[in-house]
Amino acid sequence: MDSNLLLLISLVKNGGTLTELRRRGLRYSQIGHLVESAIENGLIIHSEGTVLLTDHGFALLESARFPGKSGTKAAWIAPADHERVDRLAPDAVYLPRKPPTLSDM
Amino acid sequence: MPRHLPPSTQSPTTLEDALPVDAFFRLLSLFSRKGWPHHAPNGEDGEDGVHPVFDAFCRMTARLHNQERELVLKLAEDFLWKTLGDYGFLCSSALSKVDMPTWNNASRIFFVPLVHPKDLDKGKSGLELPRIAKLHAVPSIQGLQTAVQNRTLHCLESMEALARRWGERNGALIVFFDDFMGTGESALSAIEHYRTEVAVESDTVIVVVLVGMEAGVYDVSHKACSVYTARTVQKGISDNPSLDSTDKQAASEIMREIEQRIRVSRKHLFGYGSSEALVALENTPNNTFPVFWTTTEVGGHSWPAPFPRAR
Repeated sequence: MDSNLLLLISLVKNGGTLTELRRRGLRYSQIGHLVESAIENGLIIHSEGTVLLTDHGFALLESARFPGKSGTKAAWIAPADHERVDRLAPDAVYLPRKPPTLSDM
Repeated sequence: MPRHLPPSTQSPTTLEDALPVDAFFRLLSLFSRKGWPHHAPNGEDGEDGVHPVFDAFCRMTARLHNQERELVLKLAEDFLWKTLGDYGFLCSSALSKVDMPTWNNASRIFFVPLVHPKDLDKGKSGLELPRIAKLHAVPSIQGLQTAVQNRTLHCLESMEALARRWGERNGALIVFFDDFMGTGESALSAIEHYRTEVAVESDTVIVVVLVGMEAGVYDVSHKACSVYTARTVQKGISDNPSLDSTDKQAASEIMREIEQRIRVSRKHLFGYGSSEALVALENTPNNTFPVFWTTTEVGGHSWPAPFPRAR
């Protein structure tokens, strides 16, 4: 299962903002595509601005969170590929991203 | 020496990325209800299916506070967005409202853009309308097609071209076209120029606009000549029938706060002439609330207007 799709249905269940999907490089139109995909796969129902997780979506989310004792570590820890940073040279200076502030408003 | 870092796979985030998931779904519903696209076919209009209007609408909404977001989403329900591809249909709709005797009594018909010569270099979006009307609208209106076949229809590019045809105008019908009428100021100025510099006594003059604001249309109709529109729209807050007087006051206050924050110039507060328009055409009229079109820099970032005005 696409980790972006999992994140989307997790957001539908728990609320929040789309910041993490945007950090992964998705534009809003592309998140719209993801929503269509989630609807086609029967994971969510969307009508007039109201969105609900289906039983299938809920089960999928739960199975992603709790794969069972038989699962290996790789089955329940998803590598955060979007967080990966290429190896830095020893003399490189690393400046972390500046979080948004009120001055960005 | 420090070296440049390799590009990260992460995208830096700003407040434009922090759109609440419920607001996003409301925007998807809004775009769906209004028949607006939220993505472009790959290779068209944007990169990887990204539609610039939907993308900017989401980024703008993310930068608004809760009450501001509620107001802008409510106003967006009444927003009228038409592109050049809609102009033929709108033109037909407006022209079909002109009664048949007006056409039948004319010896010749002149289609002319309603633009004062001093504004010709401003790239007015209505300049193409006479040609669109002749090619797409006239053939779609049965009686009009017959009336035009029995007369000569001239499509002119400017009022100056009309002035040069004075010798051919004996009982002519002059149809002035524009895509939008806001306060009516530009229209009245152009008609005044026509009257003083171009008019022939036997001319009959009418104005055809695709979208007109009620107040401007009323003003021009009473001071100059008949105005025909495809759509007439009202002020977005002051004339909004779904808001009572308390709601209107609160909505105006919230809009004032937004406009102060995005540094709207005094003459464009609530749109030029305080028009409170909710309209985007081939070019967005400056009568529209600036939150939808201004691109002033706010906090180091351009305001992500969904319908920016062409320069």
